[in-house]
Amino acid sequence: MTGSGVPTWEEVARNHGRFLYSVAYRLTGNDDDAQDLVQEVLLRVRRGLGTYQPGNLEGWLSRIATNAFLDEVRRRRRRVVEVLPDEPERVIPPAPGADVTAEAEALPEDVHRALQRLTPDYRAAVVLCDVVGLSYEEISATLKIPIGTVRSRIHRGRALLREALT
Amino acid sequence: MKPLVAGTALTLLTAAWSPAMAQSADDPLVQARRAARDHSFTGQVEVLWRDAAGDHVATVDVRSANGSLVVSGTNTVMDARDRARFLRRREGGWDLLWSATSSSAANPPSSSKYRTVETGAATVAARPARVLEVREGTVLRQRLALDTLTNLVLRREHLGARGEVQRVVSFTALKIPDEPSVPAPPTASEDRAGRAITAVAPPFSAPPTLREGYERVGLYEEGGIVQALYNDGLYDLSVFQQRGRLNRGDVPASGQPVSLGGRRAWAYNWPGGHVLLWHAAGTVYAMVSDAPMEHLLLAADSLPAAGRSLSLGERLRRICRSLVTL
Amino acid sequence: MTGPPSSGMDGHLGDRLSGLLDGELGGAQADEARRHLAVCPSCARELQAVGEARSWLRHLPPVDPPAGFRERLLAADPTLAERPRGAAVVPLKGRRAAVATVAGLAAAAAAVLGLFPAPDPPAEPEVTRLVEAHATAGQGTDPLSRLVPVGVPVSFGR
Repeated sequence: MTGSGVPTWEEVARNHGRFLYSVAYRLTGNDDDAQDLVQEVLLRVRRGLGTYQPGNLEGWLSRIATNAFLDEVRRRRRRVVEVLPDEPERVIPPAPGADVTAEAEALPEDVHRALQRLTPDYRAAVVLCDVVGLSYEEISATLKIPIGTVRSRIHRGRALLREALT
Repeated sequence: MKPLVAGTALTLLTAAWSPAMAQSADDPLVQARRAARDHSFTGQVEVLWRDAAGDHVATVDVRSANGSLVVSGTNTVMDARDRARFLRRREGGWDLLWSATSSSAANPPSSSKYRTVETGAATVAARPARVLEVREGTVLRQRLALDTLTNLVLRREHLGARGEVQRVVSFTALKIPDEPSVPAPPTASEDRAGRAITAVAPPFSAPPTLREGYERVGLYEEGGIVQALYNDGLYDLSVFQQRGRLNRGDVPASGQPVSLGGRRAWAYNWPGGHVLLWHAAGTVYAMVSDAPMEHLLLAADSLPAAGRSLSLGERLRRICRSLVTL
Repeated sequence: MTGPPSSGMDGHLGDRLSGLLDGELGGAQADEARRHLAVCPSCARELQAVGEARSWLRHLPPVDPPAGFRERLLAADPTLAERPRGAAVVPLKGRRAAVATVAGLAAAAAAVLGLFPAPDPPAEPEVTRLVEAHATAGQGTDPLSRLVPVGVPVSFGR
């Protein structure tokens, strides 16, 4: 830990890289974007962005990750002129003869996929609450939205996800 | 039996006897292919295709004589009889796309995967035609109208998984002249022809078969881009590979994101089919085909770099490993 | 099938259900919610559905980064510029976006990036060109319907 209380790149990469990658993967939905996002978080940590209060380091990293993720979403939204059709993603069907029981066990994958169908704002709220475990107040501070909005996004996100997996 | 490939290609293929060469001469698809080579004609062809933006129609003029085929639309394509393919863009000048040195093996027989049944008669471009339906299992993939007199394909409809028409290539006018004028092959102003190669070096890969019964029938290289051409008896499918990475901001904007075994890919429509674009391990892949999108997705699964969906055992192993390293 | 979540404005609990599950309702509000749940099957169903989604999300396993990711992260530490090593530095996934961000960093960090071996250059496949190459290669099942689309304007919206 440096004098400023902000953890070093090395500390974050060594001790929290896996956690950060996990959160990034749930937010972005894929490996490539998750790796990018982790790098971006480290760069922001390096620049001392955000105000780290000694205590919940992983919560703090998650907040940086979520904001970096939403920044990127907004940046891309500006750049893509043509709005993509609002169709469910095509997902490759299982190979013939795939073990049927594997489907039931593959639930986390389905949950992950359903999570990606939520809009980035809803997904961010749900990930911060259920994957990272932040309180509504912390989420409210992270996303800069009122607590009531946090609650409604989390609730609606969960309901949509449940419905997608019916 | 008369071989279906040109002499140049055949000499390269004497060792690779393909079952396609022995396939029944009365296979209507084989007849249609031969008719397009053997008959002279002029006419107009309408292309109708459907994508997220709606329906599109375009009309092109076609002319064919002695095996040379010229298609004149926005681009002019000339398929000279020795299998050299030229392309002229609006700006003028000709590109040589494929030269006579390109070789490819014969296609696998369509009968191993598709069932073709004659279902009735129709009139297309004022000509009598027989209608054939091509099915993969129970799914109707294509409906063809073959000219009763010549076996030329007068109309080809591509259907989606729910039986909806996705793409139609159809003559609106067709004339079989008494004295065909042979189009003179152009001189290429820019030779970008792909050359046939026999093997690829890692990290590229060109498996002899892909899922869904696609067999490799050609392998080419041009300007650092490798093209492996596959066929399943009905559809052609190309896998292009080039070194590099795909910046997500730089993929053409009309793509629809799809998941390829957990890996992000982009799907596109073009008037003749689909394109699937992804990158993995420092290689950019572009799959181009007139086949249904599910064929592309499944065929991509055969390429080593496309992330495979993990088996249950592998998933459990990963979870255990992650618990140990916590 | 759960139907859309209720807004909470119609006498049902709506997002207070998630508040209840997350322990984010005050004591009085929580008691009131529980009383309502005892008599409202619709809210009870919604609570169960949302509770299931919550439980699935909370049981999502951690995801392993690809092999070597942590090492690459460590090696890319810009502070290494202040204590250079002889050993070759492994690059971060060199992509343009990352490089663009890095451009704003201190000169020391930029300098160390210069030490990285060149990453794979970005490739922007000329999709139109590839489509043409596909349509004109090989023999096709029917050369006509294969070649005709090449005569049609194609744009992928670069």
